[in-house]
Amino acid sequence: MLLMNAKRVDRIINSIGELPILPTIYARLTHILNVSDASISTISNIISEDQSVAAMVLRMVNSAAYGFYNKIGELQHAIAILGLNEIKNLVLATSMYNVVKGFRPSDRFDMQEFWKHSIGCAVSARVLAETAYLKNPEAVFTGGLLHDIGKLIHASYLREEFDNVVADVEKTGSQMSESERRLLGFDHAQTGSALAEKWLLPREIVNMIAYHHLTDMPPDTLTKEIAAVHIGNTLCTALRMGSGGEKRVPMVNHEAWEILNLKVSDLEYVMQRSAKLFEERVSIMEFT
Amino acid sequence: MGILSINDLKVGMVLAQPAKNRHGTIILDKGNELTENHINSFKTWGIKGVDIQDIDYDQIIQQEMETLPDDVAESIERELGELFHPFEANPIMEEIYKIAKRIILKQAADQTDGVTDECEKG
Repeated sequence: MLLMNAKRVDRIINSIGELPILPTIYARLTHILNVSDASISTISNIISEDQSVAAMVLRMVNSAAYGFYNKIGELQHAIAILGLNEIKNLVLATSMYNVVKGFRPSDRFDMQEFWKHSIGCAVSARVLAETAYLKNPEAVFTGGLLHDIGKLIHASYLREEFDNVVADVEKTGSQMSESERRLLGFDHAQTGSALAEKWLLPREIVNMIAYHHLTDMPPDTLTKEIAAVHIGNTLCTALRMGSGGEKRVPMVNHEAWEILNLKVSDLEYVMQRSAKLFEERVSIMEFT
Repeated sequence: MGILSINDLKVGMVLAQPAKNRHGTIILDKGNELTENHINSFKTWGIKGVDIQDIDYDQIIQQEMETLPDDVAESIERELGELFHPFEANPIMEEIYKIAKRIILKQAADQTDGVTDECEKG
């Protein structure tokens, strides 16, 4: 049953002729950072090849969040200030933004709200990862940013089905993934992770997308990173950071909460900080 | 203890943790009772929030609600109620609900303040 659905999801992904491609800049940057002690000028060279990314880096460093009195105009200077982790997040978010703009979704899909929800989940998941001392908060940011990309595929390439799902969510108040399973036989976590595989993203990120609802998960698959994206999704929905089209806040899964090893009292800090970072990000990356 | 934004600080509150600037230098140590001067110097140093002892969040929610126009506060309550309905007894979801409500009320209050400021300027 599951396997059949998996094949169907693959067929859908493969049947899409002009599937948006992830710009190579992110993969190249990650590669360089992984294999060597890249110098700032090397990184600057890669970034300056993509004007939209370079512009975003400068916008970020000159935003109120960093509060510099003088305008920073040099890319290398900006990279030194922001740090490599922030740069990676920005490069990915900008690439993702360009990809998202390439889709032509159904009228019932709100791109602006979707984009905010994606940023909101990325930020919340990263703050959770940092608070729980995970070793790779950037990967978690990526997983959060892409977790709902399957919804965008449905809205763009399975429009009629998507509209039916939206109507069903409105009527029943189900989680969107439940409606999708009922009406389509698969959900956006499956389609999204199939796309991420096609984009050759690392397995851990594919899994964060595939299991962000913690459904259909093979035994021993749950990681802290998956848990952070799962809970980040709940937090950003609760804080109304955009909308992924859900009527209800997804429940936090008990196992996911346990594995992160956080205290309930940590939530105060996590949510305050996420709300603050979200406002900073969204103001410079508004979807137009 | 609990983190409060610089705009919510009141004279007489007590620091639960040292207030530090962005370089990590301590501006005021924990245990100190805040004065008007302290709060102003935090602003000068660009400190955005500090950790305060014995915060009663329910009281803060109540205060936020009172500063907002009735219809705004009501619509926030209603929307959050719909988003969170129904969840069975679940301490984590309850905590998330409480914190989310506080943050969203605060954001709405800040926005209302902003609008008033604009009007006054105009």
